[in-house]
Amino acid sequence: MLDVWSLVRFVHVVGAVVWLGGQLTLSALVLPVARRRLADDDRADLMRILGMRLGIATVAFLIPLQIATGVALAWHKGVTVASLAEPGYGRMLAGKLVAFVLVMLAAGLHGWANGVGRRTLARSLAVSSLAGSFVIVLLATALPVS
Amino acid sequence: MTADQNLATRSDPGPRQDRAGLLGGLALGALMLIIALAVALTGRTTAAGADARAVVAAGGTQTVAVTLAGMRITPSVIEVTKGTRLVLEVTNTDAMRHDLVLDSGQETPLLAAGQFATIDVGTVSAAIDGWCSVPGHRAAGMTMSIVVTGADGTGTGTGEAASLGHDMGSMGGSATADGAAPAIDFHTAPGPDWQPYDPTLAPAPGATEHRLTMTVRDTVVEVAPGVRQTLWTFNGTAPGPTLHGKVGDVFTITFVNDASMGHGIDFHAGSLAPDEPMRTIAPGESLTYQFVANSSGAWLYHCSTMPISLHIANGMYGAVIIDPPGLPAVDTELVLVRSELYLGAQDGIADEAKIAAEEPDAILFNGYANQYDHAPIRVRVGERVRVWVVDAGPQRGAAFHVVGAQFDTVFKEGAYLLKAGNAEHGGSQVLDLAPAQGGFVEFVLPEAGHYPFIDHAMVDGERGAHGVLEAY
Repeated sequence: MLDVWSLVRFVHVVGAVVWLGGQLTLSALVLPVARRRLADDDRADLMRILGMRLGIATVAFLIPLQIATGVALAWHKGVTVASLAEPGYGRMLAGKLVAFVLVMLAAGLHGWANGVGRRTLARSLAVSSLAGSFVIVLLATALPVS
Repeated sequence: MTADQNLATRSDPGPRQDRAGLLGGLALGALMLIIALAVALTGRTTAAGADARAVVAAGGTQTVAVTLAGMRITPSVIEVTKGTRLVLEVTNTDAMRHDLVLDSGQETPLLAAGQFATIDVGTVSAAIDGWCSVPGHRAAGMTMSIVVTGADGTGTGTGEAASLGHDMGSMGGSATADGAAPAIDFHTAPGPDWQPYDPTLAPAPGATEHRLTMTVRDTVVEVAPGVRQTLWTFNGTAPGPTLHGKVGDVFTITFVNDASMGHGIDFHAGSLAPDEPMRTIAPGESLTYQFVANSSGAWLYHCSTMPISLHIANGMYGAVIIDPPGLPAVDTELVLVRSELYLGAQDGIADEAKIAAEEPDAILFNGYANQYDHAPIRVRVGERVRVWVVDAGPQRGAAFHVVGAQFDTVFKEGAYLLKAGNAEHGGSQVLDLAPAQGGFVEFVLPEAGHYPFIDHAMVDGERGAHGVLEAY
């Protein structure tokens, strides 16, 4: 049934799609092409600006949106803080939240590492943030339906 | 900033650093996966049996956490040293509502999912039993007991509490019994205001989509002359409304719970994952249940809330009739839903002990003892009669028979057992149905007269499963 909760779930899923898609686009599409086609400084500039924009969009828009819709969905589902400790839905959601925190940490550190010029570390963090985002989606799909 | 510039303008990082970055990132990602899965897949199981027995330290005030979930109260036994003051912190972690009632007189309010309440049991000096008072839950195993171990406590001034516990205990006992069930007189006629349940099957509507709201209410219903029960009804009657359609029709049911406890609904006529549509919803809630009738048959629907035996016995059943393709029209088409009556107190609900003992007081067609003896169903001599029968149970089978008639057509559980004009010139005398099964029979009454239809399990036929077809 298409009710207000399907709409909230829709927004939550679209938020995740934008965040994951944004990273994937930068890492898998833009970066290889930029490497081949652009001079080093142009490329570094382009990637820094794109990374900053995604970072700003994430902090200013996506994180608040995901937290707001996520909390609303959990409330609708009857999730309590205590139930996060229970095996099944609660634990699965807790694992997803831990993955979310780790990914956001990696993404934030990626920005910092880029800023101080530690490029290998920055790349590691970018890749781990992307991989971790898939972990979040995996756990989201593993949440029991009932 | 200069370092940044330096690095940015420096020559390409080179494949080795690049690979190091990639591998490092993947390793970090794998670490995230491991951490997240470790959180997701571990954890203490709170299955039944865990913490079944709690032993409370002696003396002073002791607090015990009690959990209500999955038709269990955990811990189920609390051992208390005599003279200890006991406080219970009761939490309902279940999806459905529960409460905790003690025979010492204290109780929690009805707790929704996640809610909790505290019971100050007081100084314990005698054994106390506790249970969930939601109908059926006590019988399903939601009980607990507080036992007293004889060792000395802190003081002796507990005589008052002891006598209190005893008195309230006996009171609790009588409250559960709730008075004796009224006796059914199978030979009296109903009062002048009585209306029989219409046995006629209304024709299937032309549309292929059926929309219906089914509302559960606590309804006082007469089930035999002068005998009333508070049934949980779908749209006010037991059986609930009969749904009639063709193979492939879509049924969209808005299920509303206006009763005083949790209920659900289960349509055998559709095939789907039970998790969402058959879930129990609390009073005031509603859900949408949509199914496609892919198969013909006489299908049962019933309440899906545990204990289902009690919910069916207390009126929550009905029929969905899906015509097989090409089913010819007949002159008279009837629906009889057979069920058992486990009588509770007058205006009370069904008796769980009788259900557990499988000792029904009466067997009913369409919810009333000997209903169509009091209101015979009139059919014309020589015309074809089709009778759909569904056995709602909850526990016993049916042997549907029409005295003086032979069935030339029998359709049971999706297949014809017998068709008119068969080469063997075969006929049938009884349609046998296990609980929840359904089908139809066809016959022609050869001459004017009164043809009783009965459950030919004769004990059942003599306690309510009896009616009359009057041929004219």
